[in-house]
Amino acid sequence: MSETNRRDFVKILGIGSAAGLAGCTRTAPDTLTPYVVPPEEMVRGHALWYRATCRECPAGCGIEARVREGRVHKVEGNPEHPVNGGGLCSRGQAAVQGLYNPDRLRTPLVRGAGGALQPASWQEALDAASALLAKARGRKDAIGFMTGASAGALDDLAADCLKAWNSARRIRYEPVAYDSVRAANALCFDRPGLPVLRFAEARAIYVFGADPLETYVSPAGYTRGITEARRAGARMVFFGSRLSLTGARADEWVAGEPGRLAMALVRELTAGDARFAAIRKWAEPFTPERAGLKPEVAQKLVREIRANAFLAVAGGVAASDLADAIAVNLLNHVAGAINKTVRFDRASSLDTVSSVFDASGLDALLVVDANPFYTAPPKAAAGGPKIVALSSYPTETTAAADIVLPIHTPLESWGDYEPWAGIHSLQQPAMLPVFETRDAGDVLLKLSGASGEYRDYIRARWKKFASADFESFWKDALKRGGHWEDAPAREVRLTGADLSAQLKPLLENASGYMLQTYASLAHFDGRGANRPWLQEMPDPLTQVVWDSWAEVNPDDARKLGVKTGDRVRLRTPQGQLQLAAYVYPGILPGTVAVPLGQGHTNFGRYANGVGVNAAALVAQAPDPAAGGVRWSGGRVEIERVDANGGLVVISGHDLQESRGIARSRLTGAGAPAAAEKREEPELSIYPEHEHKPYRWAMAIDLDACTGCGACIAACYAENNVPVVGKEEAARGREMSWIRLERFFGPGETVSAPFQVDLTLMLCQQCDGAPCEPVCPVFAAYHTQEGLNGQIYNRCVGTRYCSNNCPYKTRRFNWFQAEWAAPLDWQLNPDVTARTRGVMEKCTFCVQRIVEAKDRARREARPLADGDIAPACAQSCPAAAIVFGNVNDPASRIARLQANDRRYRALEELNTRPAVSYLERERRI
Amino acid sequence: MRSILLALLAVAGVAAAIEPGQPINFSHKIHAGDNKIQCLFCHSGARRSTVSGIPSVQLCMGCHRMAAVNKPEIARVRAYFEKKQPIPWTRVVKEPDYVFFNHSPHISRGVRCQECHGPVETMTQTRLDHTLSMNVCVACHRQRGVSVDCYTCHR
Amino acid sequence: MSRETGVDRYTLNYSNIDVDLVRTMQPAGKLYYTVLVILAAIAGWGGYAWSVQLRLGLGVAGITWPVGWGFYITTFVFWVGIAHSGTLISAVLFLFRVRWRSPIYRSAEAVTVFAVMTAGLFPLIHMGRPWVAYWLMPYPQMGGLFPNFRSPLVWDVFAISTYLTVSVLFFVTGMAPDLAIVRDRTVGWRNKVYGLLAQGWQGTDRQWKHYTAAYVFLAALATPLVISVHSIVSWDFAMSIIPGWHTAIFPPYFVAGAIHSGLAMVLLIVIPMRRIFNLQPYITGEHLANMSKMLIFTGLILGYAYGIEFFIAWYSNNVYERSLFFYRAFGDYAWALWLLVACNVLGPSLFVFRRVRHSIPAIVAISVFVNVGMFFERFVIIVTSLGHSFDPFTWKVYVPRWPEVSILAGSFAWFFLLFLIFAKLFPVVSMWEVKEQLPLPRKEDTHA
Repeated sequence: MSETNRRDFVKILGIGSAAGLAGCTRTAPDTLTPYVVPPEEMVRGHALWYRATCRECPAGCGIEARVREGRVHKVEGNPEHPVNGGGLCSRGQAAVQGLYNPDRLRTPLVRGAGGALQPASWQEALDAASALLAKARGRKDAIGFMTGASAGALDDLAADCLKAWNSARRIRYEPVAYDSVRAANALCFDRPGLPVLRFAEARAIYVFGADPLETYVSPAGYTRGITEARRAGARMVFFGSRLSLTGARADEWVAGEPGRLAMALVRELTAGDARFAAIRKWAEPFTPERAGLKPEVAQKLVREIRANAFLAVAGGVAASDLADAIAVNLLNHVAGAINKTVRFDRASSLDTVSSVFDASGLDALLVVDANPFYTAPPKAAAGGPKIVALSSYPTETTAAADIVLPIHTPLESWGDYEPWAGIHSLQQPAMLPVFETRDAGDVLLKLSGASGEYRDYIRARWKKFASADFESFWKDALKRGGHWEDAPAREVRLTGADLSAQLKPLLENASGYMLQTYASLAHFDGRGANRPWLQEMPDPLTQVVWDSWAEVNPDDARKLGVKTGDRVRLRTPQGQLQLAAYVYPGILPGTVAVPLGQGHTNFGRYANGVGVNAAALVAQAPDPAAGGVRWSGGRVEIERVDANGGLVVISGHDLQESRGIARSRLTGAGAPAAAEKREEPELSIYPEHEHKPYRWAMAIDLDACTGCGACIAACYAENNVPVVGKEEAARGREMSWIRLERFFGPGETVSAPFQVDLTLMLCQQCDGAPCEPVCPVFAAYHTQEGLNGQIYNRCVGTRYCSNNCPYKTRRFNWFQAEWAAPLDWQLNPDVTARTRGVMEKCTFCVQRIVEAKDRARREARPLADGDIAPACAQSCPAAAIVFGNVNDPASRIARLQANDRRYRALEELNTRPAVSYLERERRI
Repeated sequence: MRSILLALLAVAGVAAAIEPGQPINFSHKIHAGDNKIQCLFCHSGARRSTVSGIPSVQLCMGCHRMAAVNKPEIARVRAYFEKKQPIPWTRVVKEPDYVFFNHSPHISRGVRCQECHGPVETMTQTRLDHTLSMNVCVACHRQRGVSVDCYTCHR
Repeated sequence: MSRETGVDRYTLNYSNIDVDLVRTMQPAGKLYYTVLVILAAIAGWGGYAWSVQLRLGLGVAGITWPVGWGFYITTFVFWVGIAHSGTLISAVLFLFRVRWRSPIYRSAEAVTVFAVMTAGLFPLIHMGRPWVAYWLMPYPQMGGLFPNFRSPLVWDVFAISTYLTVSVLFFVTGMAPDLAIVRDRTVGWRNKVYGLLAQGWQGTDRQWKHYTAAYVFLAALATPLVISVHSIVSWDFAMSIIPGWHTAIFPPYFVAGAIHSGLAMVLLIVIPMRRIFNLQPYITGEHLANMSKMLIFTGLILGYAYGIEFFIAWYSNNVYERSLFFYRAFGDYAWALWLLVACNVLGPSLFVFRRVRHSIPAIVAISVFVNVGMFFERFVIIVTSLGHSFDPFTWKVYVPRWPEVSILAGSFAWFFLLFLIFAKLFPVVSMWEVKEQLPLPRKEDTHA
């Protein structure tokens, strides 16, 4: 350096820094990887859609998987599927989080000599399994085959396997098995199965404790049917001791014991009717007073039943007694609903399942995609059969298994599932497997000694459906999502057996507290607990996240000295639990309700240690009163422990305080006249925005919205919304762009003592948005098409926009969001993944708007109404959200602007939202 | 002397950033220039999709099964194809993550590839002709009277 | 002692003013350095908290949805408010020829400058992406975007930077003759530095003529800033639509509050300073009493503002306003509201009694209360309105966490640290202005 004088030094410095700086403006080189041989049907940048079947619950809705460059990003309902017709519930939307779950099993596990499960190769594990099966099949019926509801190819394969293994021990286990409904149908109609419920054709729908809008049998399909019925003027009444979400959506809540109430109605209906003399005799003791039914209410209900197409539905987990189901069967019968709206044309895949299983006398048990040890842990410490578990995730069952074989999730597998007889719903892989797992069918074929792949097995099974050319039939079936056969009508009749003995339990009065456990909307029977979206979505009624809770009546809470968030201990003869209490006005005194699905011990990072397992309180044995496991109706003791429940409740305040955010009105005979609506002129000192050619708007029908949260899960999936976890959610940092706002209120009618109002709150895309003038950098601005734009790369994070938003729909990224691999594979490539320090909010799925406009331009046609559905609107099973171009007078959205139920939230602030709401109707 | 060496190093560094090295010495001049192959022949995605795409190895082999077979670079392409390995091209044009550029409306409205990518048909080595910063896009959009709404590119 | 100016004519003369006030800049003792180190440590801890926040994200703080602004903006408005009293004393009282401002104006102006410097940090601290904070400045950006001039936050940028610029100019200009005195009494590198800062002051008549004109000009420039800057800061809230913020009274209410808190902070600074530097002949009890009298006045304005806000909320019959003000008085933060009313209105009203306003401990106590009260006033305004706005589903309580408390404490330490350094490097009382209050020296007097 001694030769370098000052001039050179400056020169070097100058050139060096210039070069360095110049290098700084270029980004570091990336690698572009082309295909070697590109797949024919794929255009990079365009999505491919593969139709399949959702297997998140036994309902078997049809789905379409959106695949971009070989990765599934989102799942939507299949509009051509007879079960759900295009809608998809939140659990279905969360299926992608099962596919990309970071805790998925990646290698087979074999229990070693030391007693611990060790990773093994596929060859080793299959050899071990084959050896085990070979040894066991020497004795007859020594091998058991357990699945959940599995009607379809898997059932056939199971039968083939068992035959190969010299056994007939077929176990179909579902914790939620509706045993009582099926047993009641067997007794009443000689048909031991679930009925087909034609909600759409009924005009008086009476729900006795069941939750058809949440988890009962086929919730997406039932939601569609019920919504259709209500749009045609139907009225829904809920009978039960706990107002579930379904009950909250009913027009009336008749509080009491559902079975007793049903029999009281049967008694009134059969009065003086010679046809039903025998039934009248059984119903004699059930006076309205006995049932807690006011005589005038009883009369009104009876009149309604007589005047309308009727449908009553019973059971579900929350009212799982045989007597309840029989009572409702009788009600349907005397009301003339049997063979009309309540039919038995098709068997359900749940007809052959049971909520109890018997593994005694087995040497080996194969458990395929089921988790019996979560709800029914084995009592014996040692002994019992050797278990071979085929599962995608670690579960309580795999923890106890001897050999664990990791299988594909449904989105990676072949399959066919028959939710209802004749509805053959196909499953096909939407992408290559994420991990080194295998198709369960392939594994089973191998273990049973058969040759070939599961795909061919299914194809062979489907040959019988094709009339002519099988290959084109098969292609059509894959494109359609399955094959639907007509079902011949099958009538049933009342058997005439004496049911008075079975009805007697309804007359008993028990003392103390009754426990109701119910399948939760988010986790169903527990299988959804490892999907972070489902944990983060608040329960619609309690608004609790990442936890379990015990619902307690306010009077009982006062007596026990319990407040929401306190820790309480629940004790039954089966066990005890400590969990947080939630004081809920919608539950009768003497009832304590706990949702199922949490409290996992081996189900991954998002489920372990979260909440408590309510199954621990319930005897996992057949109960004569229920026909299966008696999830509700048992006695429970409750006492306060301390104030450390650790409950996180998302809602700030439970009452609307006269702000008209979630509006409802009474309609029907006897309802007061609707208030005069004053049309306020929209004044502004600023020039009006011009919206050409499109102006996007949305209408949300609060009468159709059931609060199921499908829209919320869909939005998470579509827009790369991060999950923040319990601790951050407690600080109000959840990132959901659309939220369900739940308000409690005093009832407006005599018979409805308490009501729940729901609304969906999302960015209202205001025409006079308060967030726009206050953003210092124009990150929030008004687009030419009526949207309120949020440009993430411009946002500096002052949060003034959120402060000025009256709806508080803007969410700030407080931390850098992270997705545990491979959950980041799910991220939508058409939407930015936001960095920390920026504000985000609903964009009306602008990426879909842009994509639709692009497609229309390429196809040289104008955009049509219905071309664009934001993720929330697309997923709603009730089709409650309508989106479109309000500049087009023929569009649905434009016509809805003139609907007399239409209002906008906080209109008086002159924000001019693009989102309208249609008032909910309570029909009295 | 020392300063000259340093200066050369610096220039090389900058050059490497603008005109990165490629695994195969592909020359657009030969293909698009001398042989007048249409841009869309290889980059077919540009017409109907957001991304223009890089031609698959199979597309290269489509011609080079017979054309210029004995050239050493072609032999390397063939080796990639036979080993079923994709050619790891080094990316030249990259916009930040928050820019959602869609080729399709540009191509369909007659914007020539050269307007943004420069005179590619004269390039023996693919390079970035000019940085495609926001003012370049906005200026052209304004000139043609097309939307300058932020949502057009930023979502 | 002259009642008019408060300056003791009989023991002060030109030369002992110089001696007394340059003596404050002598090398410091152990106490000074101990306090310096403690303040630096607290400020350093605040800086560490900020670094954690920069590294991990704003999530480490307690601000959340819907209360997106909490301690940081409260502290920002608090420090901007503190700054106003300095300008009031230096510029406004100058233009009104209020003589007793002379000995305290230098320290008051220092309070202004340091408070604005402290306040200026907070927009950066509270931003989600402070590394792009320069986007709030208008510059030729490649996308053709300018900042949104309709946003009060951009007005803040201009207001605060203008205020800082003018205050610094005024401060440095006002010190020129004094720095010349210091220059003439020092040697070596100090002589050079003070010489640079004195800007070549020789004390000639011509210089004095230009100087007084410049001084008046700067005072006139600074005067409207007293009203405008805090009005603009108040528009951060008043220009929004949420209940409790959307009110026209905010500009005068905030300006009055600013002067209120600023006077209290000046008192808190000046009283220990006068004790430690033995400046009692310069800053007499009359000066302190006069400032206390001003506190009564501003306190009454605030009392009116509090009262009228509640009255209008009730009178308006607007469900949102009524609910919010009911929540302010009886909700989760009711303790803060009643505390601030007591501190800001009731406390200073005690200055009506002559005994109180001439009692140093009383003045100190009430000034501390005023500062506490003013902090909570901004806190209550921000946090209750955000946490209790239109949709009851969104109502939430804000709880500050350690970074916010640390940065608040750090800001106080930073402010006092700056003043402490200033006190040792620059004359804390304006020598030339005090001399102006004295009669012209006669030849007989120049032998002290």
